[in-house]
Amino acid sequence: MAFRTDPAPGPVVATRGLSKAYSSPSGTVTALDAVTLTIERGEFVAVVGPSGSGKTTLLNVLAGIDVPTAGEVIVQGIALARLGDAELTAWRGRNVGLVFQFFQLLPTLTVAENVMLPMEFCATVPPRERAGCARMLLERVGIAGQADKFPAFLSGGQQQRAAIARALANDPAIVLADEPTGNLDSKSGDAIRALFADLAAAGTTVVMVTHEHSIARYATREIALADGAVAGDRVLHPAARESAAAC
Amino acid sequence: MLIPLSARKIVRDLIAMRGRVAMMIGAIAVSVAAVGAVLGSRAILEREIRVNYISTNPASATLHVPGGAKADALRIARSRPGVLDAALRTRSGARMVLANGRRVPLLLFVAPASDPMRIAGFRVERGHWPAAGDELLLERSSLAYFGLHAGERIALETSGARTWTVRIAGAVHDGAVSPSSQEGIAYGYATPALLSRLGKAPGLDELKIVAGDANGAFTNVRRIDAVAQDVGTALRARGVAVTRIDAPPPLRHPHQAQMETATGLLMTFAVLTLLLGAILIATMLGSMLTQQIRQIGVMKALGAGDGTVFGMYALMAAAIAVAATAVALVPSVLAARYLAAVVAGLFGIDLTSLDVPWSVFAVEIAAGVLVPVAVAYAPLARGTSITVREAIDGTARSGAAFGTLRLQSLLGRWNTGNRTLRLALRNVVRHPGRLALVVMLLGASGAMFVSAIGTANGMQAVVDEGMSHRRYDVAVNLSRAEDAASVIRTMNAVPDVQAFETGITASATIPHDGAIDVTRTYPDGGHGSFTMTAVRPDTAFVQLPLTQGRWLRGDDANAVVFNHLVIPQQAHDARVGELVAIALNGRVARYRLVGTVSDFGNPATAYVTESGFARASGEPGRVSQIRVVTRGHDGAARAAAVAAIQRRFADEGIVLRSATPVGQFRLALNGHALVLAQTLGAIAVVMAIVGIFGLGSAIGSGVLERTREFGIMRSIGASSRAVAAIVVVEGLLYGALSAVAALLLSIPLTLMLDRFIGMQAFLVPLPFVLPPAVVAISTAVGFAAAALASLAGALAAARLTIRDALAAV
Repeated sequence: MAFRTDPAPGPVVATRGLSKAYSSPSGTVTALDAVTLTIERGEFVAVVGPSGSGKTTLLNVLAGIDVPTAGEVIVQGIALARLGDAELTAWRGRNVGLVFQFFQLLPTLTVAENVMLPMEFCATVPPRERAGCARMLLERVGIAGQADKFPAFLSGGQQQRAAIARALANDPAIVLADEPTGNLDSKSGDAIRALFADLAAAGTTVVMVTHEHSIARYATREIALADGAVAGDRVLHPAARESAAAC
Repeated sequence: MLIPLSARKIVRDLIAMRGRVAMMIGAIAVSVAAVGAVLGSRAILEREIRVNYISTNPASATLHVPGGAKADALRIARSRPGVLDAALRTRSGARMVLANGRRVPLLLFVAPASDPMRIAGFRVERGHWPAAGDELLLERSSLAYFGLHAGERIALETSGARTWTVRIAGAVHDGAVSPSSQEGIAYGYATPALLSRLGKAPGLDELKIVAGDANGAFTNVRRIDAVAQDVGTALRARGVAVTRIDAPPPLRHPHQAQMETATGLLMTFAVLTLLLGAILIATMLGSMLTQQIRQIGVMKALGAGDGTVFGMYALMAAAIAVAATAVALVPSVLAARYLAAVVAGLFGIDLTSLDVPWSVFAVEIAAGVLVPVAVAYAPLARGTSITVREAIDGTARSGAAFGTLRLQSLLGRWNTGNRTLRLALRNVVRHPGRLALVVMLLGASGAMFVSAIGTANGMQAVVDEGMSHRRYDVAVNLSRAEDAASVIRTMNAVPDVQAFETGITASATIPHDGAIDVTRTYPDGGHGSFTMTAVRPDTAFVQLPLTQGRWLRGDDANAVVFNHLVIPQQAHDARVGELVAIALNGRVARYRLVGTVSDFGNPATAYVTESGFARASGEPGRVSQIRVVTRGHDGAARAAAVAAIQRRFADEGIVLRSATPVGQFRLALNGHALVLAQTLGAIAVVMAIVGIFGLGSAIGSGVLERTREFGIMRSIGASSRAVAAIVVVEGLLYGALSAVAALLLSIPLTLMLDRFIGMQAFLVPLPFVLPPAVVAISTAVGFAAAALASLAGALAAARLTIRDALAAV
């Protein structure tokens, strides 16, 4: 299975009438309600909204982690609903970079090994080249000096940089980050947001769920969710968006 | 060399969890070592018991030739087809008088000095063979058991007070007899010259043959019987009387069944222990996976498929199993050798080699590696097949919310009383699946612990029951049947005798039309023998529990009651209510089988009335057995009575074969049950160790999983002591639930073991004995073990700092 999808003309992400409902002891909860949107290559999209507005669910659905109750998700021209579990796993490993709030680095692998892990799982890089690739990515996120340390010996900001390097390991078309700065101090948070902005500027599509107001300084677009529906969608830096669309 | 990151992760995870991994390795290693020890000892013993027994070149059959046979008979036997070799021997009985005055039965195996000892031989360990006319050699187990030494002189009695002093010329090892410690008798080896000196007829009345062909001795009993019948018929045709053929089970030591039962039992438990150890691994891996759920989710999010993640954790299970097996190998060999040496000592077997066959290692390695991995498959498959979302948002980790199950809901309503107990109880029922697994593991090991002790008690009860049927103090056997009136007159003159009862007993056979009678009796005359015994129907001296039909009545001249050994060993087709033919010295009489009795401690015996006995013997009014009740019932009173009886009968010129206080029977019976009881004791200890490992690991896993919870508790004011108390109480609750499970399981398990061991070793099911004290002690041991096993987890929980606990993800 080769799920490394080439950049296709058109949006990187397109959703149509996307809905997601959960059953819970207190009844059915609608997390997403007929969300339709498109995201172009190189955009840095901030998804904002109050708790329970459906931000994380949207991210999960885009990553193929959650299956929508209704509607369609197309990423890089691939309709995720058509992929089976194993195909979805392989596709996600090669095309999506995930960044979590609590970093989720594997504690018994060094920082470099954490970065190399997706390369091994997806066999995207020959084994002998993986260490070099990992070091290059760590340099890109500014923590090459920490490559051989275990995650527990890094600060929160450094761990999140390592997690971003890991998310970039297979050169994904899209990076999905769920409150990646929520567990960091403001200085580290700003550095991470700037890093995402640089990635987007370099052509990687970034979708980031956040509560931070300062995101407006970095993102090119802001999608506001309320009660699972798109309550607002605005361009923050039109120039940046135009340049992204031109990529 | 590039090592895959997934493998590196697994290795480092194992190192990070070294405490729990060590516990898993320990539990599996104990069970694998147990399996290896049993397999190894069994292989050693099976090989060595054959080497020992076969090295004696045991006779395939012994033809009884009353009055003694001449060299002519030997030549005839050797000329018959299917006879590889033949020899003339005899056996005789006497009593050894020990330094403390105690008399012990001596079974003398007699061979002519000219006998090349190619058949039924022995190995001389000290001294030389043939012994001189005033000498005998003793089996080494007899020397050891009765505290005798080569070179010393000892008095032998052949009747009453007539004694001869003979010299113990040396020691032999006879691999064909059971050790004196188990039988309570001594084995001597002498030439006919000694018999003459003792005033006995020196005739050689046993013709021993080895039946076989160019391929060696026959191992098929039918072929042996055919050859023995042919030899007997040929001898009879030349006018030589042949009254009986003894053809014991070919190439099987008299106690082979006991040995096989002991090792079979060990094997069963060892396999169960391995399964329990494997369940333990599965439980711990399942718990470890729960802790690593987020990591699994992350790996899947990074592109790892179900198969990749499953492979990683299967590798972990395999690594633990391989390490445990490696740890177990050397101890298992040492334990196999030790076990083999202990059992060999009990059976009087010389171990020529302690080598454990390679096949044992192969089986041990396969069992040690494959069983745990196979058992871990289900929890691994379940744990690694969770979705990324379940892993990331923690739903798989926490499982169903507490309170959704009825039991949890009920416990939630309990709001009064001890808070520690309430919390611990709720924690215990938090994961019902894990609770079930832990209780199953601990309950099973507890049940085996209780059942092992219960079955050992059952064996003791068999011995006690066997003794309780003997309601007399001294058993006297005459060397031949005597006139009843003179025996009764003699007994009446013995002082300190409160009551006595006479009877008669003789070696019997189940006849087959036109054939010489065949028994399955071993050369020691005891194992595999079949006797007919006349008893008074209203006897108060022997009370045997009926298992079928009825006991004898006064007017029963044609009735017979079999003890529990007759049908399985001698008369396979006999049914209560049907006619059976029994022969005494070639005279056949038919009886109706009216009942069967349980009769532990005696050989296969057919009980008849005196008139019934006379129908077969043709000699009414004869006795050969006296059961005596003495005025005092202690050892001294019985010994005094024995001495008085011996003196009195000597004065009357009546020759005694033996006069034995009943205490000696108990020694012999205990000797037979000892091996199995010790085996079960060893099993109980191993089970307890596995159980403690199981509980310890369950508690340890629970503590690790709830690290954050403990941090929260500490942050809101709980002391280290309070946190530790919750963990200890959880352990005790696991112990309590497991104790109930163990008790419930132990009942059917004990019944099963009682039946299996009883039927294998004694041909009678053991009585079900589960004394409340055993249950109470086992439960107390279980609670103590639970407290001990939870202590490590409690200390770990108490040592957690709030910062570390809250930082755990």
